[in-house]
Amino acid sequence: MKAFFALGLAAGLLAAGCWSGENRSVGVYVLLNVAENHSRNLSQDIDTARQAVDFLLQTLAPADTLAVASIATVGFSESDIIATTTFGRRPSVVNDQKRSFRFRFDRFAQRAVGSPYSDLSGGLLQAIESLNRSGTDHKTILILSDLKEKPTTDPARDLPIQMTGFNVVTLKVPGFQPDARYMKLYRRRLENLRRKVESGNARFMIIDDLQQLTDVLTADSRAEGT
Amino acid sequence: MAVIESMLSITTHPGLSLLIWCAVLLLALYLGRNYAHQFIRSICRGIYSAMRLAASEVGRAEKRLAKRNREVLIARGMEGIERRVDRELSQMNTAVVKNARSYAALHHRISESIAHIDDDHRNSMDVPPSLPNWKPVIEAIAKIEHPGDAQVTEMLTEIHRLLQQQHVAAMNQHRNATRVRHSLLDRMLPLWTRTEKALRSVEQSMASLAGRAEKIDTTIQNYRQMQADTDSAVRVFSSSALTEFVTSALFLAVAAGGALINFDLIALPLAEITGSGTTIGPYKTAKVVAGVMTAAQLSLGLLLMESLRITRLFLVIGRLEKHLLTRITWIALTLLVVLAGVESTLALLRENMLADLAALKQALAGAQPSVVPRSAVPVAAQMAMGFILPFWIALGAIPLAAFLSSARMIAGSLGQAFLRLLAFSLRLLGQTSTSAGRVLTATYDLIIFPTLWLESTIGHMPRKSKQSEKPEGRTGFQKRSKKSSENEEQPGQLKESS
Repeated sequence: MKAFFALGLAAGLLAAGCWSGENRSVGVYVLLNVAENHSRNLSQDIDTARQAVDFLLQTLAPADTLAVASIATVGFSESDIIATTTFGRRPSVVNDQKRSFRFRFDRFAQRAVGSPYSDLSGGLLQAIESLNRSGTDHKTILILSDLKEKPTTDPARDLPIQMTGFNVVTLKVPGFQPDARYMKLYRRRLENLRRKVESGNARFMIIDDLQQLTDVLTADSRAEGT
Repeated sequence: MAVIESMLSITTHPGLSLLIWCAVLLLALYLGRNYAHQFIRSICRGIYSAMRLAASEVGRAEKRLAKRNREVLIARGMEGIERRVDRELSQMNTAVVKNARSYAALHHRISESIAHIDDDHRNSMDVPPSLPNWKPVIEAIAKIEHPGDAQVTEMLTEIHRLLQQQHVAAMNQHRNATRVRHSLLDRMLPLWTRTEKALRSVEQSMASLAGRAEKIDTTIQNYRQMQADTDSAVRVFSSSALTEFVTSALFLAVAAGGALINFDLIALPLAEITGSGTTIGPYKTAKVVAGVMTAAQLSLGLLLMESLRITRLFLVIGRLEKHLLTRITWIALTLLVVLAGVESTLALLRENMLADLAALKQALAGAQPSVVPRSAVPVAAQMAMGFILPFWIALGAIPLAAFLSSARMIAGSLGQAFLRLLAFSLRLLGQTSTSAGRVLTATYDLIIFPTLWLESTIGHMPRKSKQSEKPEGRTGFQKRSKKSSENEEQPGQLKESS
């Protein structure tokens, strides 16, 4: 019997030692700009944003963080955050949180108003701060915007942002069909964003499809039963 | 290239230079021929000796392993027979104890029955007296003529009535006595039956004991036979070990399938308890816990089987006293039932979680929620599976023990075969090195054959006159060839001497 007790004790100690609870959580911050100009309309942007949110809700697992904020503003503030949540550990709780998140997004979609400009820099700062605070392992900022910012003379806007370990991903909006002049401007804005992101030691990616976002998120972030 | 060019330029003609170099080389090889042959032979002899030595060591190890395998095999087989005898003796003991305990009651019952029968028999021996022959007397009195005298008539009538009355009373008395006797005899019948039944049960018990004794006798005879003729015992036990290995492997595979299903059944709902985000090492905690639970069921099964003396993997458990073993059995069984209950509940939770997940996915996909009512059959089936699988896995301990036991035999046989093959390979390598030595010396001679031919020609000329006197003599080349071939035989001789 002594041998059994010793064996059980050893197994218990081993299990306790292995119970590291290593953090492999994923944080995604969606910066959303619903714009209204000559080539895009509000409902297209809302649909795209909804698809992105649904995709993320299906993909993210317990202990992951998801936040959606609108950058359709001149000066980004806390009130522009549509919904933010860190999912719990229990799958049933996570399902309820996802339902609640979707409900808050739907409420935003109903009363969303378009804006010709966005405060991308302010949104990025907020996203970085929020994801750093959440303590997630893998941090991704998803930008759903045409990247058009209001010209400003504020030098603070051009200061480099430290975002080591972040992935900054922008999605080519389906409704976005720019003409040649617009395309040129869009490319220039993309290039500016790339420079800004890469100078902050982050990884910059442009995706055509939401499915490509799965490659960005780590394998263990995929939802399993949640 | 420069060296070759310089070598070829010792004369003005490269061909001539090459010829000169070849001649020099042949001369050098000729002069060093004996040393070269000796060197080749030494190398080959060394390799041969080393291989022989290694082969002999491997062969010895193979023999040791074979002996050990044989011992283990016989010990295992004998243990099986001893266990069979032990079981038979134990059953016999149980039967004897049971019969002995009930013997007093049986004896009392039989004695009582016999006493009753004896009493009844004694009572039934009192035969009622036979009836007096009243009938002719009555008829005679009835036939007496009476002349009309009233007094006589009355007297005769009275006599007749009294006689009739006496006759009826006697008849009744006789009938009563006969009835009593018959009832006594009737009562004896069930007593006889009861006694016969009791004796039959004794007979059955004795027959059962005799049967068991016969079985034990046969097993003991087998045991002695196996002890006396170990070769046939080894054959029998080897065959049974192989059969056991294959069958236990098959059963173990089935049990492993059950364990996998069990793991899949409980891993998802365990995430609700342990949390889905935590990990142990690279694995999710829920999956690790599911694996541990499955392993725990197998361990409990092993413990249960050990305490029931079905398997004998742990000597420590085997040495425990009976009351401790009984306690372990009950503890293991209780824990198994608890685990089965937990798993059944987890199966229910799993079904609910899957339904919730499906509803969420539908909502996220923008589809309307399903209005079809959920069937209770899958839930019930999963719960039943959750309850049964722990016992199924626990029963896997039996094939596991058999597999481990027979795997020792199979591994031993495979090791033996490997060592045999290794010894053969080493021997073959040694023999090949000897042959290679012969081939190398022959090749050497073949390369320098012009010098050897020259030597034989030169040596042939002055001895020509002597050769004419001795026609059966050999040339120097022939002698050397003979000598070298004799020398080459040396490894073979070493083989024989070794």
